[in-house]
Order: sequence, then C-alpha cells, then structure tokens
Amino acid sequence: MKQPLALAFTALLVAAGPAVAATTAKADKKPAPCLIAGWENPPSVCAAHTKVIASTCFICHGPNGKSSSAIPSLAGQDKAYFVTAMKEFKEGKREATVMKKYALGYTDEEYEAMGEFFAKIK
Amino acid sequence: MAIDRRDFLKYAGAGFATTLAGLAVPRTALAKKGKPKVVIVGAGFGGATCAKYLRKWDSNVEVTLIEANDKFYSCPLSNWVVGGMLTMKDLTKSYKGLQKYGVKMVHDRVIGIDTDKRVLSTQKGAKIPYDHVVLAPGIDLMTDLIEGFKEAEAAGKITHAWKAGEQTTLLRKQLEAMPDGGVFVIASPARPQRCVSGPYERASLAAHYFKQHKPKSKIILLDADVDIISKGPMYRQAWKAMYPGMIDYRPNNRVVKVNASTMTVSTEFEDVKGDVLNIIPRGRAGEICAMAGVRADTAGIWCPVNGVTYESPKTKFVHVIGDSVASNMPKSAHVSNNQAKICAAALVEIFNGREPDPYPVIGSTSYSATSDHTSGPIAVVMRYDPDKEAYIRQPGGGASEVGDELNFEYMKSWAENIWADTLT
Repeated sequence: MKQPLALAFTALLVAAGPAVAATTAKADKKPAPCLIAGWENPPSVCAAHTKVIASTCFICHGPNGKSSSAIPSLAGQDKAYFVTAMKEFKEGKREATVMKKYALGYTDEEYEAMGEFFAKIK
Repeated sequence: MAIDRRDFLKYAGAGFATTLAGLAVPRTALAKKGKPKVVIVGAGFGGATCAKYLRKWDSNVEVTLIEANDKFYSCPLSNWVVGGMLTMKDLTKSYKGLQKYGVKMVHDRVIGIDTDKRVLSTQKGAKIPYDHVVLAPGIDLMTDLIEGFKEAEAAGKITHAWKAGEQTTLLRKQLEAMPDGGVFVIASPARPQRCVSGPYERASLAAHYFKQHKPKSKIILLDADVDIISKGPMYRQAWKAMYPGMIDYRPNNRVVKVNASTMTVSTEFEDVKGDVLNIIPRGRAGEICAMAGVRADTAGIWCPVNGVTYESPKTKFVHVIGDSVASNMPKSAHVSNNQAKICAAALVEIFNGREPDPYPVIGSTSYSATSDHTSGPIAVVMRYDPDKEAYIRQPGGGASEVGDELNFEYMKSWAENIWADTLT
C-alpha cells in the first residue's frame, strides 16, 4: 500500500493563480509542492486541479459561480463562509439537497482552494 | 501501466517528458511548435463546453468546432415537452455565445478521418487538419437491433425521441392526438445507455398529462433492464401517489420487433398493442468514433479513454468525451460538460509543457421530474485513481427517495445554468 507522502510538509493546496512555469525547475529552485488528496504535486498541477474542480461547480451554480436562478451563486462568497458551509454539509449540520453528497466527495484542501477561487470572483 | 506516485516523484526530478511518458501522454505533443490546433466534432454539452474552455484557458489554442445542426437542442428537459410543460422552442439555443471566446464554428458533417495524417473530411468537401481531435458525437441508436424499426420510424409511426428535436415534438403530437383510454407504450433499453433515468421520467410526465386530460389512458413501460435502477424509490412513490394504476411497469422485457401497421411491439415474451409507440433502441458511440478506430471496447460499442486526458489508448491525438466514452460514469449532460473541462485543461497543460492533473474529479448531478411541480436529484462524485486507471465513486452519493417542489425549482435552475455554462 502506498502512503500519502510527506504530510510533514506544511504545503497547502495552491489555489488557481497565474500558471507556474515548473517545467524546467532546477533542483534548488523547485517551487514548493502542494497536496491533492494527500499527494504531493507541482504547483501547476494544483492550479489546474483547482481550476477544473471549481468549474465543476459552474454546472449547477452558473458560469464563474454566477447563477441566474434558484440555485445560489458562489461568486464573491467569503472564503471562510464557503469552507464552513462545505464542512457543515459534510457533517450533516447544514441541510442540503445534493450538497452533502458533493461535500463527501471532496477534501478539506479542496474546500479551501475552491473557497479561495470563488472569493476572488467579482 | 499506471504510474505510482512514488515513482512519479522520483521521475519528476528528471523532467516532465519522462513523467508525461509515464502518464501515457504523447511525448510528441510537447515538441509541437506554434499554435496548437484542436478540432472538436460535435457541439453538444461535451463538445461546446470543451471548445469554450480550451479558448478561455489558453487563447493560444486554435479551436474549430464542427457541428451539423445550426442550433443546439437540449435533451435535458425534453421529457417536459413530452409532458406538455414546454415546447422544443424553449430547448433550442443559439451557438452565437461561443463567438466571443474565438471558437471557430463550422456547420458541416464529418464523414471521414485520417488519423495518420491527422485530417478530417466533411460532407461539404472540406479537409480540416488537427493536432488533437476531440470527438463528442453523442450516441447513434442501434435501430437494426429491432426488426421493423427503421420502416416504422421513416413512416412517422413510431419515435425514439432519444435525441431532442423533431421526434420529441412528434411524440408530443401523437400523445395529444391519442384518444382518452388509449395505450402509450414506452420501451427502454438496457444499460449502459444515455440518461438511464429518462424513460421513467418520460412515463411520469406522460402520466401527468394523461391524468389531467385523458384519465382513462394507460402507459405500458417495457424495460429491458431488471428494475428501475436510477431513482427507483422516487419513481415508485410518485407513480403510486400521483398516478395510481396508470403505469404498468414490466421489467426484463426487451423489445425485438415492432409492427407499424398493427401498432404492435414484440418483446422476447409478449406482444403489446399501443396507440402511441415510443421505442428507445440501444445506443452506441457515434459513427465518427468507429471511423477513428476508437470505438474499441470489447463489444465495439463505446470508447475506452485515458481518464486524465480522455485520449483514446487506440489512436493517438484522438480524444473522446461525453456519452460515447466507455466508463462507469453516467451518460449525462452534467458528466459530458465535466469531462469536457478535464480534457480541455489536460490539453492546455500538455500544450504548455506541463503535467496534466493526474487526479481529476468528476461530479454528476441529474434531476428528473415526476410531475409539473416535483423533481428529485441523484448526485455522485467520482475521483480518478491513476493506479486503478478508473474513476472511483466516492461514498455518500445517491438519489432522493421523494421528488419535491424545491428540487423542481432547482431542476429548472440547473438547466438554465448548464446551458449558460456550455453555450455562453
């Protein structure tokens, strides 16, 4: 069995930002790795991961998290509010139709990354 | 071979080319200079989303989207047309919203592909070269498997209405013309199929219409499957509470023949007469997938793909997304849209010499209505495991057991938002 690597690293999942040019990183200039579900990855991978999982939300919550109707918008939501909501959905503390099912499928690092992503959208 | 994460990190120091080879991404893709050219075949929920997000995420990529239809017809909510709650006009959308992203839209039909020279040929005689092609053709219906289907369909006597459009409207007209006390027969194919919950939603919404306008009518639902697998408890509760005695559900009943002159459907076990016949044949990946040599699962019906890039393991530079993919994922608009984004993001990473995300995650939500004011969702999250080379369903997914008014509102909102996300 493989073990999640290097939990000792304090690296957090990096939210989508400017793409990181990691392709030719020299050993001593390597950017800090980040985690996806406990696995270390180059920051560019985490940026791409966050970009896509956040865009999964768009399907129900509207493009860029801007909903035109009954389903709430996510764009501009406070990060802490978003992360707390996901944790409460997961634990069943907050009532939901599908969000408990979604919250159970993502990790705490991903809640953080998605929360940061939507907080930045005006 | 899947790459183990420990090996991955070991190789990572040696540069991404090694890593990418381990992830089965064509190394030659990295060598390509200039503007990468991606051609997408089919502008449904998968293809249109892929085109939009490729351009949104990397404006250096040239994207051509080939689609035979001038307009977008939404399958989601098309059962609402069958039930008289909407018309096809409500589900017909423009492609113009994709222009602002710089997507080159071509209304034509692909009739050939040369996967060595990487060129597509079209009905209008165009030759369209590509670096990577993304096939998103949706399904073809295997009408040959049902004796008499083609003749009856050509004569306008029966419908499948499993691709939203003219047949959806025709089916609605047939139901409107049916006398009170008539029999509506729906035949559902076995899984895997597009929209596994659709036939039961269709029966529910037809029942909703009959209840108000033709209460003596009956619906016979012939199901090739053993049971209502998707949202079964919700449908059974709705049928009992709202349409008692109206829907006669007959599982394990595969249709093999249809006779349009006597309006009789034959299964392996019985002959059933109806006034309106809606026969849904089995589907398979669109024909372009066969031409590209990627309709390559053991039965030759669906397309296996690499779960990171959606590239076919059979033919390099050919990617497949949407209903044509062989997988344990639902064949739904939601999944097609989500796969399109994963494929687009992976291509952008490859074009920029970076490693694509080895751990993509897919969410799937699908709503089904049981009347003009009740609906229920099913939702599941699937995470790709590169060691198992499969998307693994995460615990906690599942369906609502009762449809309600809140979810009916959410279903409408979901549709508005996925249309906007796909097309604007």
